[in-house]
Amino acid sequence: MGFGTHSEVIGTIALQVGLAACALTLVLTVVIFWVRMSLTITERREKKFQEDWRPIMVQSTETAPEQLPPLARSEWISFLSLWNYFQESLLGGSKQNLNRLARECAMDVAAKKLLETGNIRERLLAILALGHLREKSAWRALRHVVTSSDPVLSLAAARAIVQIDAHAAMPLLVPQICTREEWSPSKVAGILREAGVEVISRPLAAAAMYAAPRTLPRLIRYLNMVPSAIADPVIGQIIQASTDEQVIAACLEAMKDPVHLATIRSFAGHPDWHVRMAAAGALGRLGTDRDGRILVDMLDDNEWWVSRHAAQSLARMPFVTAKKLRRIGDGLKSEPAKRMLNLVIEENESS
Amino acid sequence: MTSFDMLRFAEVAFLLYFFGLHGTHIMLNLLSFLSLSRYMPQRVLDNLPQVYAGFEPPISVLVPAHNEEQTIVSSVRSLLQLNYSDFEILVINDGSADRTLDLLIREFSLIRLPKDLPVNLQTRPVRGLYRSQNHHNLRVIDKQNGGKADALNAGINCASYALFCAVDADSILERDSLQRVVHPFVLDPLTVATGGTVRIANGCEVRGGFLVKRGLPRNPLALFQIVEYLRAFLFGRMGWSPLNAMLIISGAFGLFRREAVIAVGGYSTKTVGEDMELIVRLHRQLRLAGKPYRITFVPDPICWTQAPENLKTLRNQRVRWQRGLSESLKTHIRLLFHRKGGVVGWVAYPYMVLFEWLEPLIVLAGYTLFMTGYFTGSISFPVMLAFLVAAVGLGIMVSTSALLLEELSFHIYPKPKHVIILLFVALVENLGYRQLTSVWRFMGLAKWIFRRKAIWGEMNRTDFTQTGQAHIPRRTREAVSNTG
Repeated sequence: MGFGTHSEVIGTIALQVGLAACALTLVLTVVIFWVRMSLTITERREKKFQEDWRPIMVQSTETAPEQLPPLARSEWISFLSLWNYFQESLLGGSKQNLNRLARECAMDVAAKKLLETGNIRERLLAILALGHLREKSAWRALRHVVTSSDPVLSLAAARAIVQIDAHAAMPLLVPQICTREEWSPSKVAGILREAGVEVISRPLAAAAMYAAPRTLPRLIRYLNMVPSAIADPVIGQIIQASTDEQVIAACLEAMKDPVHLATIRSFAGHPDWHVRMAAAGALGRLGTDRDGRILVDMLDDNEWWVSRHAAQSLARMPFVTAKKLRRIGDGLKSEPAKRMLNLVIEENESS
Repeated sequence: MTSFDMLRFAEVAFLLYFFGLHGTHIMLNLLSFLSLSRYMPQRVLDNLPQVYAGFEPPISVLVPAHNEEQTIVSSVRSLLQLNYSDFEILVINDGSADRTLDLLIREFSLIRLPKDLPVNLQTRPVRGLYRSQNHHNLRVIDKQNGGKADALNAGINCASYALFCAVDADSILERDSLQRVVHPFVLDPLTVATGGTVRIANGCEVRGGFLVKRGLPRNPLALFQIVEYLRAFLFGRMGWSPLNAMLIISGAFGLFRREAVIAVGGYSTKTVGEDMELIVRLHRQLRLAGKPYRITFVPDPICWTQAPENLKTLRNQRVRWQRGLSESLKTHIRLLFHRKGGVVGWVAYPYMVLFEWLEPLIVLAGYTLFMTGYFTGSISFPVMLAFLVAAVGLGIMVSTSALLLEELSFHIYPKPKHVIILLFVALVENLGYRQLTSVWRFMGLAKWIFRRKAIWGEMNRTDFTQTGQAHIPRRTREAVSNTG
């Protein structure tokens, strides 16, 4: 192949690729305009829907509206979006009134249909609605979603089954909480709170007894929501049996009963500083005058954070007054310990 | 090999390079599309009223400030209004020569505390530690000047919480930015860093430190940068994130696990690209140690920053970015094709080297070769034109696909005329602007090779923490964030 021919081949390939790119750009441009047009139409429709239905929903939180405008299939999603927003914003009887409105509009049936056939967004809205509606007939379908791999859908479904029947949901929910690491702890905590302390306490405590070390720190944090009389004996048993620093630190952070003081003191000299720090916090919460002395010793810890927690715990102790704290500071021989205590004293005085 | 053979080889090589460059961008675009299609439906939940369960990890917001007297008070005021359950703000006054510290003391009723800080990371000496009497979650560290990285390290030392968020003092954050950026940490305990999308605030209206109206600027340079940022964040970051191979988190806004950053030695003070260098170092050390981790990206537009509107400042910025990129990639070059490097060492790093680090060199060489070939008669006009059509056409297509991603996801520019303007900009920026930035980046590369000192330059910034009207000259200190 001669030079000229070679260049021509390269040129032809380049030109073809360039033209193909230009053609694709044109296609993309058309798609962009199409997307924007449909977005504008949707937004207009949404605005109109909100203008019509927002006052109805506001009214329905108090009394049942006399006449309802017809609701088209294409408006289901708009209805559910707005209705779910109201449900999440309101408390008490207003929610029941909203439920009545949704049922009058046959949105319970619509939500079940969307749960079966909708895309992710539609299914999510449907799950939220079915939960708020306490729709028992959707239990089986929602139960199935709880065990699905999608973290967002499954978590929303977990909340829905708790809303429908918290007691019945526990045997399904608790094992999922133990195994689903991708579930947001904050959302799980919200669901557990919604279920109610009396419902979650025993299943959670029982699960914590047999949970794997990997999931224990998370479960122990949830035990914070459980009354001390149920949680503390379990936490006491876990801490005795565990060698995992994360589990021990989580237990120390969750302890609420002074009965554990001996155990807590035994961790004040633990080699892991996270454990020592948690022990300092627990001593500050539950400790006696004797523990004040342990905390004073911990002020001299090599790890800054342990020293800081010890100082903060000392300052928090109910029987340690500001005057006493200053006296302790004056009596300290270690300069770093003295500085740390002074820092916390000044922080407390300034706040 | 004759000169003809060499020319033939170079023609093929450059063409393949261009195809490779844009082909990779298209692949990243597709990955971003898949990620966004999974992410967007979940936003239904974000639009509902949020209830804090008390399980959200508390965050220390670190705000390094050097000579920020014009904006610091309003910046801090807007940060104090962020929607999040538990956070503290730590302003680090990095040896300001102006009234930055005095204003903070006066406006927030700061009182001096004993400066007993933990020293996990070595920094320039701390002169004082202050705490606000009005806002329990506001503290100020006053230290000797040591640069942004040094200031952030001092902030990390002093941070009370396990997560810290590094924020530029002049960044505008969305009210729910912390709530959004913390999501990956809540979902996955292995997460060590997350970055959010940074958008350009030029042309937008800002009140009380928050963005109230989105719009496009009139300045063409700022417009070009809007399309550049869309490319960089919507598929530059979003494409790499699901592969856990994102090599940059913008210094303007990023959330980090404090212990992980301390374990790798904190921010490096030896580079102008401390934000990228930290991420590459995290990847390197965690990969080579065989520790599981995640570095992720939140696609929501949560941080707004101001783009340069004149050529000189823009040139200095790009020179600096390229220099920071070079320093980061050179420092951790051992990660390249390392047997433990995974997707980072075998895909993302080679991509960065070939298509970001060396790109200006290769692209300019390509243009020069074809132009020289044409003027010396070795390349015919149709062939040169074909080459230009391919290079420019592919560039326009990639920019347009970024615009499509934007329309399919956040469509933050509300008016239809914005779409038309941005489409026009996507076309025009490929006819000179991108080539110009390649020249500047080449200069950055050359300066790095010859160890020339980085120029920060003066930049006219709007004090957009107020109303976006006043133009106040101040020294820019954006972190290196390659947006190419």
